[in-house]
Amino acid sequence: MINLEGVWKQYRLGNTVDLGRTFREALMQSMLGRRDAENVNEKSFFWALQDINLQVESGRSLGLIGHNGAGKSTLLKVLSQITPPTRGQITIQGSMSSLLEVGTGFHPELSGRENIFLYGAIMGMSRNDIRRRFDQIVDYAGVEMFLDTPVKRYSSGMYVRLAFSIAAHVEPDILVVDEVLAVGDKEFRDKCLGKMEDVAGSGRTVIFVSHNMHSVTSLCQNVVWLDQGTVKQVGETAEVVSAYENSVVNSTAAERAARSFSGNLLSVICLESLRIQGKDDSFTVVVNNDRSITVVARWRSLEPLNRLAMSMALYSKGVRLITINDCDVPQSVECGYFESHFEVPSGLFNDAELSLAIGGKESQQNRWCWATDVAKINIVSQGEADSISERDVLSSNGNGTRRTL
Amino acid sequence: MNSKVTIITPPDRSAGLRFTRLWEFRELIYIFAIRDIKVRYKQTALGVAWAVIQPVTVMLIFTLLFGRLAKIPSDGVPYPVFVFSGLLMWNFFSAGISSCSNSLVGSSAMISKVYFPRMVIPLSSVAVSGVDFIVSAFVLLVLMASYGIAPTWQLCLLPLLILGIVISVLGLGLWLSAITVTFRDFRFVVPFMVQIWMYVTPVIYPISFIPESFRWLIYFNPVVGWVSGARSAFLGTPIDWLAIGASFVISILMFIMGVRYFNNAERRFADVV
Repeated sequence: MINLEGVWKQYRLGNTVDLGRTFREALMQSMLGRRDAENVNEKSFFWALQDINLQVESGRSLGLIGHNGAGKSTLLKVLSQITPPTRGQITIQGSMSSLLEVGTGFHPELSGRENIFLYGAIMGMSRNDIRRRFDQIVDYAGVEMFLDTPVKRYSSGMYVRLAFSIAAHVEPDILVVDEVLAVGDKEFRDKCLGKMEDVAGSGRTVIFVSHNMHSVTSLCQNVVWLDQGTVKQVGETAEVVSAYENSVVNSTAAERAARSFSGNLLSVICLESLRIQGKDDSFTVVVNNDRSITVVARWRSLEPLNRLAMSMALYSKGVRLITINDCDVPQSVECGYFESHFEVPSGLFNDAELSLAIGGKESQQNRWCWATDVAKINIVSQGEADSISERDVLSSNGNGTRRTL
Repeated sequence: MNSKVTIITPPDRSAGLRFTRLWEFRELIYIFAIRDIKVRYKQTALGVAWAVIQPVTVMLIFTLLFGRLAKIPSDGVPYPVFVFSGLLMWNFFSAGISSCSNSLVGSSAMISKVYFPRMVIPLSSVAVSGVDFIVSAFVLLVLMASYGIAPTWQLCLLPLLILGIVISVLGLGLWLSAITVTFRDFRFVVPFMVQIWMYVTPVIYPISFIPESFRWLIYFNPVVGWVSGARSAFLGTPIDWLAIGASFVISILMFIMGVRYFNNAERRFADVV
């Protein structure tokens, strides 16, 4: 059983600047008194989790859903004792192991066999436990042939399979899994999901974060929807997932962008509308690979800006494949309304699930704003077009233009 | 169902030494240590031979510079044996401090993704220096044999001296590893500090070389007891009990402060590293 009572978590903003501070700054600060520091602190703190109250019965599986930055991963880190809560208390009954990232702790120079013992120990297994489950782990991962090869020579698929296999055989009372399944191929994903269903079915508790509503629905009995660090809705899976999906689907692309916009140009540039292939309201857009993709953004600048470039980018599994600017050289803009027009040439992708990101960068003072996961663009191939390597994609240019309205 | 209950609360400063939790993870210390030792000489042609080549080369250079040219006295012992017996403990100390202080920053990926008591990382990082120590100790015995010096009963003191130096390495190392997480400056401070420290420790010279009026100062250096003690243990020269006693007290104090500082800092590592 897990019980969270009024859990809050605060982070400092500007990680690199504030936290990686040097000894000299700290010395200066302590000599000048704490006054300066506290003034900055007021503004540069933000609450990643706000007053989370939850109860998870043992043997139930809980899904965590929400937009990027809603606090899902922070909650998992607090639960796994990686980072402490700022306020509140969590009571956990039973042993827990968490898998926040596949393969953290693997040593590339060591063989598969040695890494099983290393990673198993990191995940909290004793050497005897590991010895007992060794064959199962190897079997499940399918790496018998390569047990004595250093894992740095493994294919990325084998690497991930081995890591997941070890974590899955820890057999804790509570298994916490972040969105680790996104890394593998479909076959691997299904296998992992199956394993987690086994774990959940055997009376253990699984806490699972995913953006994939299908996985959440098939695995979890209850779902928590987090939004900006608070619990927006909690209840039966079907109910919460459909409420969440409605909120995503029924919003316009511009609303979704506004929700995930971040950066220090945030309050200067407002996205008025965003149309993908002429539509602005559907989250998933399906495009044939023989057609180009058109994205039109209307935006407003509240300040005159020197040297501004608006751009869009397409990601696949977190890797940026193409970026298109609306002007070759950043141009200055006055206050007012503008329209940026982006075109991704046809034939670049085959059967890809792409994620659209959009934003702007002002290069004089190095200010920016950026929104990811604004929409999904699914490319479907007609017939058998030749596949194109990633390098070709990166080196080809899309077209972008801007006009003042 | 395991009846284990974990309660997670915001950090408080009243934490004790928390060794019970560390005890639960003792296997992990062992496995990390084995990992570091295995990886250390991977893909090197000469392998463990490096553990011999390095200290022997340093010994040769020091013998030439300080023994022959500067003619530093060595309490009647041949200078090569004298300096090597000093380097034995000193190398363990300096390598231990260096690997300890960088250990947490070097494991940042693990710290931000997996839970285990963080102290496991610096503790296990000292093991590699231990292997080099053992190799060097055998080299020293060979060297002594070639000069016709036989070990005496005093060699029985060695385990005590090793315990002592481990305590002082961990005390300082834990503190340095924790502070390096927040202030990366210490990555530059530590190598520099270690370099200077060697010259204020009787490694290349005997304690008797220091003018008597200043000699009391050197007893504040917590490594002196272990370096001079190990030299006496191997070579059978008179033991400076005062140095050992002073080093013991200072090392224990450093250890308690190091552990306390580490425990207080531990929980924010994931947010800072």
